[in-house]
Amino acid sequence: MPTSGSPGTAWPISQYVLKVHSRCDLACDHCYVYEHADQSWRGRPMVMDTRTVTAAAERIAEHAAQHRLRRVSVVLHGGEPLLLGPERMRQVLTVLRQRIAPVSRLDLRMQSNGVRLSEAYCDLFAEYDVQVGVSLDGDRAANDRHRRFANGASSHPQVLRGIELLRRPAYHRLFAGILCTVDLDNDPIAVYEALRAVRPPRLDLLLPHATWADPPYRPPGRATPYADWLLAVHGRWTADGRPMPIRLFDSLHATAAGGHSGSEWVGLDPADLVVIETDGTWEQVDSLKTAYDGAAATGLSVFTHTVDEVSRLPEIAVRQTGLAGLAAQCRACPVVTQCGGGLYAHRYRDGGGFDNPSAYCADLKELIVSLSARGGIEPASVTTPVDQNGTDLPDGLLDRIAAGRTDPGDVRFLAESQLAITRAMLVEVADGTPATGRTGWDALTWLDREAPDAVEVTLRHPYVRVWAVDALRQLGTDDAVADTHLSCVAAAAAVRARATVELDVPMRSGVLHLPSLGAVTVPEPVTGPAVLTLEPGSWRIRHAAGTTQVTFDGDLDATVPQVTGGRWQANRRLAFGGTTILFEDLDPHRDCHDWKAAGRLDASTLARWAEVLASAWLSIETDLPHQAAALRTGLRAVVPLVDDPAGTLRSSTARQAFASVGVALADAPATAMMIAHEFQHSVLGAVLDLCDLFTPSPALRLTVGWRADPRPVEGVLQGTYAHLAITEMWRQRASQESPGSLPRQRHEQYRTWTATAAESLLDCGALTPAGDRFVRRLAEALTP
Amino acid sequence: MIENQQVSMTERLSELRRRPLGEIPVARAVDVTRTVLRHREDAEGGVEVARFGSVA
Repeated sequence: MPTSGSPGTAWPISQYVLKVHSRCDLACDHCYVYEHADQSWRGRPMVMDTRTVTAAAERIAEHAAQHRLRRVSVVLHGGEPLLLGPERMRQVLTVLRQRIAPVSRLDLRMQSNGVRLSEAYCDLFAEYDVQVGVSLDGDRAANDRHRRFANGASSHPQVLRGIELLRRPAYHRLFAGILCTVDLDNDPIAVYEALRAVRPPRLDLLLPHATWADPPYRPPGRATPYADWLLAVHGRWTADGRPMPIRLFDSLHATAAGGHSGSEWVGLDPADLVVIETDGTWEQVDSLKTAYDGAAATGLSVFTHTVDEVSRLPEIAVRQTGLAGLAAQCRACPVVTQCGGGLYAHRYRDGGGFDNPSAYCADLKELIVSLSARGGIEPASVTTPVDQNGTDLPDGLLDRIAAGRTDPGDVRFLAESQLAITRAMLVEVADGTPATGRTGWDALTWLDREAPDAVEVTLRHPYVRVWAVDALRQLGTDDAVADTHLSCVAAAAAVRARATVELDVPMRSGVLHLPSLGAVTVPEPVTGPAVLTLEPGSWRIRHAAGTTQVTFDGDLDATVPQVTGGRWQANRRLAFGGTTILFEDLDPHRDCHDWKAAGRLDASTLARWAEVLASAWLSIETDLPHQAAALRTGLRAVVPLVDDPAGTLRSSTARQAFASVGVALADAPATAMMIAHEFQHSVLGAVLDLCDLFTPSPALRLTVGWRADPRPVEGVLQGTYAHLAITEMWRQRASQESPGSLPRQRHEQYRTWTATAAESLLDCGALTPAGDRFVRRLAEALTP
Repeated sequence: MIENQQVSMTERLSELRRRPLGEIPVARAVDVTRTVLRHREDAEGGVEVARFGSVA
């Protein structure tokens, strides 16, 4: 059944703001922490001590494990987190990584004023992989309007110095972006130009915090000055070709197309975020401090209360309910799916709480309507319409796949489609690559004419598309760089074709990767351009640390090359179903799964994997007889994942890596289940590339038996389809067992879950005609 | 090269598969990639969705 959620539900919380220092070295007069209604900072410890950090990390890890959260984001915040000093910061990061990373992918971030950024800090953040966002309000005049030291001095030069550090090649990947608070007295174009000049990978433009009790400043006679200010920026940004993402505009774009906002400022996405203060108290989102004293308080502490207890609080729960959690006036508004009522804190009114539109209601509406009118928000239909009836697919394919009767021909059709999509992505990436970086593309197009089979094998590597999607996201932004990985793809194809070419290639930390083949590691960890000269049976790599020579006889897949000035690590293949599949523990783009990818495995662990995969195939053949042949035909790679320390099973499908599954080491029967489960996701993902089975409905959530939290439609569709295969496998295993046995219980459990979820999907109103047909076939298949 | 915008996704992909890489019009490639990525980024198993109101 569709649900809007209810208080009492333990919602999964994936984002945590850790107030590691409660003081700041600036005295910005617009700061919501110190200058607004809530003054609770005065009674807090200055610093979050190690005991509190540890307790917080354990609560987060406990919650992540209970809810099987695949990703957790922790934002170090303040005050000013850099006031901790590098040593204390290291202690905090160590505790967080040690406690949380084993159970969930930990996304560490920090929001800073940037004043104290140093090489020591940046080295530390590089070591612990911490993304750093910096607050900057524009040029010096704009920034000095509020962001000053207590003595009134400008902070602008120090902040720019910090940003310059983050822009160095060694630290560039740490730079998350810039956060700018809008001020009507600042010229919007001057602010935009100043921020663009520092080339942030992302820009956030935030409205100054205000409520109905303390309304936004508006010059006399101007009804929507904030909309006007933002529209001016949007106009210049659009004219410039959108050289960097601006989250507010991107969110409005996404919601206009029926997608998610990805932001708590607009749209109807759930706000699964809580704050931990320096004393270990749990708080709601800290922007509430602008509403009234104590507005963010929960009365709960990390020392005494779990995250589940926090997430059950009605004030947290209501933030997860999308449209249902908005005021009646908002629910009736024509732009509500884009606006979403604005930031929760901005809805506050004395005596009326938060059940109101935003204090910026007029501005938000004007912004959304004007962007639509000027074409600034493009609907999704700019692309060619996608099949919603399934009529463009080969006869019977949708029905067979839906019923769990996917055959090898169906998988081959999907694989060909995926290959074509990868080719399209390469064309777009190459088109956006500066001419100086196109030697790889020139070689690849030549090889595609002269040795198409070699190119085809290379492009079928699942993680070529993963890289291409990343590269596409960078295209057209100031942050884009010539993507030389295209040369690595070309080099791999050239090796397969035994061609003679010379390519400019990237060497990263002393490693040159050739997708689908392996990697050359040189003795020095050099990062930078190298020149790769390929001839049949011989390569020469000239790099910053010297020259590396690789020679081999015949087929590289079947020989061990001789390497001078380095070593060769070949891609591994393991037996599976009478053939071999790629066991990918090397490619740098494989680490895109929900769980962290394991590093290169030692020989004994590899041998265990070989045994497990060989046995897992036998289990699949026995327990999934109708689809075993399709799985053997389609599965291209297994990526080993880092084990769960508690021994919980782990598996994952990466959206862009067709027919590759991530799995943590387990026994053969469990591995068989995980592979079958993930392969279902992969097949359905490929179908969704070709055919719409549902219409995007960001606010819609459905309850399912296998998870506590309501899920979006695609998640339920994916889960239901994966469980169709698991139900079948348990049915086969149960057929030889007595009533009441574990396999019989499991079969009944999965069958019930899957059937109930299919009913929810059929009732939810979001399925297309093809989706309705797909789910009906699926449901029918549950009763063989 | 098929130019009719009403051709199916399957047909467009078939054409991309047959055509040499260097002869695929960029506009056709862009159309396919945007179609494929149309509403998938936030889906289950997709990329990060940062909901917090800061760049961090």
